Amino acid sequence: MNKSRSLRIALALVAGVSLSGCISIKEYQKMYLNDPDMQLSDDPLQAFESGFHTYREGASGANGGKSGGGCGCN
Amino acid sequence: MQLIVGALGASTCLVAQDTTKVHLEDIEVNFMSSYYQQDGNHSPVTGGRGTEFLTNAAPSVNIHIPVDSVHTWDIDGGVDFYSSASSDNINNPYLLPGHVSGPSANDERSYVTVSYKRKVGDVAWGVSGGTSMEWDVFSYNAGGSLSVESKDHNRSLDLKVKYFLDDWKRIYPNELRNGTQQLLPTDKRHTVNSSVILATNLTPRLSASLAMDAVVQQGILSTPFHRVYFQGSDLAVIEQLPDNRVKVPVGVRLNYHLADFLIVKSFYRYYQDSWGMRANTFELTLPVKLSHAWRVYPFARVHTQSAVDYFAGYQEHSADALFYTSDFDLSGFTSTKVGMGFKYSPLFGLARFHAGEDRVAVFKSISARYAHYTRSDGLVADVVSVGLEFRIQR
Repeated sequence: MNKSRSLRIALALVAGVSLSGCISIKEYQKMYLNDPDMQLSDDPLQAFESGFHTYREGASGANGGKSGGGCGCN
Repeated sequence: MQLIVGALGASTCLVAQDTTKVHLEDIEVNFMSSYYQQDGNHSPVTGGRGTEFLTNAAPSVNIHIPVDSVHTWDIDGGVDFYSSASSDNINNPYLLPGHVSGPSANDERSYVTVSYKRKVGDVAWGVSGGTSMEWDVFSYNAGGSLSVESKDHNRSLDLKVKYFLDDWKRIYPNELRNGTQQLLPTDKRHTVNSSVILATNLTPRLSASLAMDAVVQQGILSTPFHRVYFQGSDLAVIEQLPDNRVKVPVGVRLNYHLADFLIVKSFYRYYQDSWGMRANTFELTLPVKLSHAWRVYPFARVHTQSAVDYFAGYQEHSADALFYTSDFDLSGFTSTKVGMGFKYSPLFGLARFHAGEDRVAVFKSISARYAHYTRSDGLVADVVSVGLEFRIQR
């Protein structure tokens, strides 16, 4: 049940992002989207800081961060 | 007349030379440093109880070098200087009679990664390689990436694959060393991390991304110096975990430019793995523009996870269990993180320096963050980070 619900949510998200292909925003409309804080990733300092989550929590990934390599586990 | 024509011709030639001059992007140099401190009372080194006090100072540098409009190099490197009370207990288990408190164990972890990217039109690909070294682990990594952008630059698809090889020294707790015994079947860990990221602009103020990772690990996934105590026993055994693990996190980001001075950035991740862990993570950041130069970043994060199938606390494991760990990082808990950051980035930088022939270095911005982290099992951590951004104009 959980797996099928997760699968449905994932498929809905993929479909949602794919259907956004119908949307076209012109370059002159991107004033807000081009703001440096609108980047769809952690800013460098945030990514650097949050490295400790990889060690102190069992779950990691899907945020562009490190998911392996070295220990740093003490 | 000939003189005028000649002068016009010469000036046209000069103009032509100016317009054909290649403008190279700036070299970016970012220095970052953080200080992390934690304390808790569930150290896996002493079987799920005992001090987890740890400090870590981590300076690092990132250099971004656009060679031309097509080729780019990135170099990342840094060192973690840490002291760990629980590592001190590998040889000095405070649970045993005759324990003498000593200074915390100190060590370093150094790392470097070099990346190359080639971008032609809307398609970019890249490769990277790196290594990290610490007292008990040597790690090597290699990766590749492919990025495709739509013609109108409203959508992008990123594919990334990275392979890690970790080579572990088997450092066992002092009382469990006998010179020849192989308590764990392997000393290498292989990790393959693949990612697919779809990003899109949805409205002139709203953008979103969907990231799906698949992480496959094989080899030594337990830590040789983690102790476990079975029910009713005061004799330590070594943590035992399966030699493979598959992790599947899915993350969604939504950024909304709510007002000229306020952005709402949100991140949600669902995670599950083959060891029975399920987790949900939600993070909210509210960048506030105070002026053209000043921005502040209040943020909050909540994470909840279930325990892996092999977890139990101190003296809670059954002696007939095949796999067992008392590492509370793999237990069920809820954690929260709150904090604040700022960035000061004046239009023309904070300072300018002469940096060799025809080059000017600009001290572009300074930023800092503080975060307070609490875990429902009692672990508390604080982290302070500072970043300095420089640009070398060419």
